[in-house]
Amino acid sequence: MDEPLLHSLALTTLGLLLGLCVIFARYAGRAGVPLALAFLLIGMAAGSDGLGGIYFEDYPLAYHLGTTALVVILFDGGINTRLRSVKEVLLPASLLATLGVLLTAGGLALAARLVGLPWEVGCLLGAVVSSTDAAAVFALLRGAGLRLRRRVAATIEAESGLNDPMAVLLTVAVTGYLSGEATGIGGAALGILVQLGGGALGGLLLGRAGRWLLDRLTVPAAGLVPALAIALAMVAYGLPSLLGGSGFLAVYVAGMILGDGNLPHRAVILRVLDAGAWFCQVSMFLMLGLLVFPSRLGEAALPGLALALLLAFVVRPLAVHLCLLPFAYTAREKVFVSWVGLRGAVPIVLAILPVLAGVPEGEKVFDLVFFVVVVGSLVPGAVVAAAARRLGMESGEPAPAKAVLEFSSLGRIRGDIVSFTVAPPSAVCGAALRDIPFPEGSAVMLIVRGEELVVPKGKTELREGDHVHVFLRPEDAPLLHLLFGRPEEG
Amino acid sequence: MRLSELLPASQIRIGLRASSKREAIEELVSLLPLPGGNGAAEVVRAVLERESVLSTGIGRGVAVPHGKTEAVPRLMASLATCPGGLAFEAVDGEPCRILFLLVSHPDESGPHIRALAQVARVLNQEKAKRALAEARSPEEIVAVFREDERREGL
Repeated sequence: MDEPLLHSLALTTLGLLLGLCVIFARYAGRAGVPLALAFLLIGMAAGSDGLGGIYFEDYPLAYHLGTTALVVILFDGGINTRLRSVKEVLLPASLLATLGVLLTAGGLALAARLVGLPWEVGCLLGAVVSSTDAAAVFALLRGAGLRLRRRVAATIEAESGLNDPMAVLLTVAVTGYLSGEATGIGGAALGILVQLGGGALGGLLLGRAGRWLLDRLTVPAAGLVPALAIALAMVAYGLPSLLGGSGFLAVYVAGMILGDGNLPHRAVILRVLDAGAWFCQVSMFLMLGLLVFPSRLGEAALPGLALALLLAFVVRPLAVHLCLLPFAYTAREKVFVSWVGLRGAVPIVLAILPVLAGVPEGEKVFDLVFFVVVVGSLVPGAVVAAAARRLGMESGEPAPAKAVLEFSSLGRIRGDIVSFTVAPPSAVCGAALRDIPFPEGSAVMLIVRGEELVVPKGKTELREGDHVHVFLRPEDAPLLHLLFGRPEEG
Repeated sequence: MRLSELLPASQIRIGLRASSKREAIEELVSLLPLPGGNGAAEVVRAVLERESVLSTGIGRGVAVPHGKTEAVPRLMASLATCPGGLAFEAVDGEPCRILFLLVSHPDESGPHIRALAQVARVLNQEKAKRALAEARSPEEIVAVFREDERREGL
């Protein structure tokens, strides 16, 4: 086939597969299967051994696309992470993200030895699957209508955001060792410190710089702002990596710093990044599914299953309990944190590295990793909501209501427009607007009642279920929260 | 509206005994002059219902639990200080040292809201807040509100 046709065919196939994934998403959520896994399975079904018969074995391309997708996903994760809640759990999360990863990798290497795999395979495998992915956990909990207690949620979220760099560094170190570019333990340890420190510092500086730019920049079209945010994500990964820091850590930290506080154009940036992260998720898992050869998996099935079980029931709980020993977590919290160590795309992308480096055991490890990730996500994922309920990890707070209207500004504006849903216990429910003592410089702008827009007049009474849009100055927020309750989320 | 009139010394407690949010609200409600001494449980329920929307621990050591219920005939208030600080799930995670309870009849939303705004305004002043937190008698607390009313010309 010639070129214009070839490209058309590729786009058609890709579009159909992506669309199929999106359509299937709702059924996956209902069945308690992590969405990512569903995409992976669709990729496998479309692949060379499956119904689709699409042959894809381009490991370098898969690595590039996978890493790029991870950059967007991590940046989106960082920007949606509340810096304040991370600060509360920074020490335990950092310990889990460093020592915890090391313990998991070591433990899994031992476990691999137990099930009769050679040391090389075990060490590689341990390093590759040592990082966790919290996105799947939160998606599943949201699907089940559950909200976790704040500290537990913050711990697993921060752990998963921070632990990818360590897994990358370990994988690179082991791969280097196995392909004959050994640096020695001391050199490797020093390298890891430099990478983590450089990554954190780079992310911090670039996040600040991005914020500085966004605070001052005026753009001719609204769509350019998120484009700038994505550009920042790329630089936040690339530049620190070029200078010897960890790009994954840098991009996550940069996202967190950028998203902290009063980010200009927040609504449009978050919306575009959300879409971008979803697109990357779907594409990445599809591609990884295509890259797997189910016919080759048979050999990996038994040891893979054994390792997934050992990881979930022995290695991960041990690592978590050891890391959390100095902190005041309850026994139930530790059990829950142990249980939700779901593995995501990072291990599968990392598993490509040894294949690329020509490590003899590379492909075998790739198949094993695939098995460990899939089994290790299916089982805990299926019962994560039940586990949260059983262990009493639910937050007493109701989920914030969703806003029905959204305002975003192109330029820089002082003051915020915040919306509230009027609930019966709120002080303002049933009150006329003229009775609400708004501070100077704050006022109700608009009320959405059912499908109608209501013009706010002095005599307008607020009713249960009204969405009230309030213009407020930041210093008046505490009073308005007291009167109106919890703000809606966009 | 004068908070000093809403808050006689008998409805003020220096040094809260409670050790949890629920106990604190129960203790604050026990200070109210409920008609016939009935309905405390219903008032506590109404206040906790409002807490479930969003904690009224508005930050910097202040909480203003409130609610609307038919168990009270009119707007009522009580206040307690807690020198050691009490975990109240405040928005900034800080322990609360001043707790101001306001409950009203559901038909009285106007006065209820005005009183809330008044409380928020007074407790937003660092000096008044310090004087309240360090007060050694209910009378000193009332004096802080009187002083504010004098200055505001209320």
